[in-house]
Amino acid sequence: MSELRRPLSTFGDEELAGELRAMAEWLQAPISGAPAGMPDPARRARLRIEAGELGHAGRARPSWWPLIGGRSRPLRRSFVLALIALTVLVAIVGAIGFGVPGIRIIFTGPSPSPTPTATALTPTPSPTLTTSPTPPGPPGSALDLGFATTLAEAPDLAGFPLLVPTSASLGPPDTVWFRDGRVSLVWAARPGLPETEADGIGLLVTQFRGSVHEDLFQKVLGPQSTLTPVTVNGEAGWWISGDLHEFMYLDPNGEVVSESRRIVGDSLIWTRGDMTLRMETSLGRAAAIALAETIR
Amino acid sequence: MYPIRLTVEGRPLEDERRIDAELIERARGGEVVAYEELVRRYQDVAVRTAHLFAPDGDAEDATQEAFVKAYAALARFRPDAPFRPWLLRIVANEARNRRRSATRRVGLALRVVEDRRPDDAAPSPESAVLAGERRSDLLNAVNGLRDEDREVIAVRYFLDLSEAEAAETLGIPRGTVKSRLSRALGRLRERLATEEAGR
Repeated sequence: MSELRRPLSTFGDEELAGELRAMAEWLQAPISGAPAGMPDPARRARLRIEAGELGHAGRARPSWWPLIGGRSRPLRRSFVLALIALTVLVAIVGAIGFGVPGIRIIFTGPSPSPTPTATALTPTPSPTLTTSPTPPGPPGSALDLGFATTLAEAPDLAGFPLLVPTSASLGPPDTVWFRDGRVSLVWAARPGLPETEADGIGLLVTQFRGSVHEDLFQKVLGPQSTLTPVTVNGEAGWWISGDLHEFMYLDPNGEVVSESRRIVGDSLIWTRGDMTLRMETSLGRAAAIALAETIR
Repeated sequence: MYPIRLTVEGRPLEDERRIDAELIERARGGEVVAYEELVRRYQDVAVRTAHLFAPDGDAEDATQEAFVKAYAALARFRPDAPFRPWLLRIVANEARNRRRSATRRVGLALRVVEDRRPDDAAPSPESAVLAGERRSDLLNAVNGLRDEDREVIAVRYFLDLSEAEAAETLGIPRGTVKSRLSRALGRLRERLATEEAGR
């Protein structure tokens, strides 16, 4: 009885672990949304597979297929067009002998007749970018980047050493965020660091571990986007500008991950070893590459 | 409905690894029935994982979606690796993706006290009340932790996964599991102290 009255906050790690393990059996079970008699998940998965939703397990379709063929039905409509655009892109990339392992770029757009021709039209901002002109909180807090951490703590959370711009004029980031294996460094807009599509943000650098297999990540672009192959410290990358786009990639397990639900503007994407980095900036391509090359 | 149990069945013993390997080979050969049998072996722990990662979602639906995605990814599975944590990682990712799109956060909950396991020895009424309060305090503190802290506690203590399995399921190195767990317990203790001080 006396043990039951002892405050839990005085428990050591092993004692707390014991309490947590003992609590497991008292946790409420998952609440099923399926009506009684519904096949279990294994059966339902089998039925979906047999219905032809996926290819053969040994010859699996590209792992970004669920993005197109699953719940994202609006994308399915433009998938054929996207394939055509992708073919054109691959031809261009092949022609100039350039490529980043694992990158897949898909053009998509709201119009049923988009063309992948890049033009410098005024982008249509997403409502998600216009609802909060002066977001409260520290820089980046309105961007759904995860929880706030520090430069010192982030490597431990992420499981990889952090890559940070070493430009003296830039200085350390104002805020650091972590979510699901991604670290985001945020600098507030200021003179010399113009505001990006995100209110009040001057620079956003996101990094995550990526494997070298094909289909590492992808971007879903609007038809008005331009895509320019670049090199950063001799490593391959892309400069994407023009229309706003949503950022998605494949984690090392082949799972499609939406980096966030927001839309982003001009960005530089490049690889460094087994890491992938993305920089959002309004500095323009040359300055963005110069800044990226200071990352250590 | 899949009741949460204290221990996880189906540890990757040699026999089970062999059964997994056979089923995986058949599934890769196009036998979808073999794949169904394979994932059903881990269905309970998969549903629990989905629930622990996203209590506000439909755990069975997330599990089903993860099973379909895992089938598509089966060609990339290394046959010498344990299947269970590989599958759980896909389940966890699916649940996480759903959690991010949820508009409101729902935490884990305790079963009602009357719903005790039948083999539990009946405690004295006072002990039962105190134990119930303690569980409630502990769960409140767990629910107040950030996602990464809650996840590492869930996989190690609620799912009772080994450190190696937890690392694979969370997609982080083993050393990070250890350090993250240590920090999570520290923050849990801080939350408990705050709760206790507020009483």
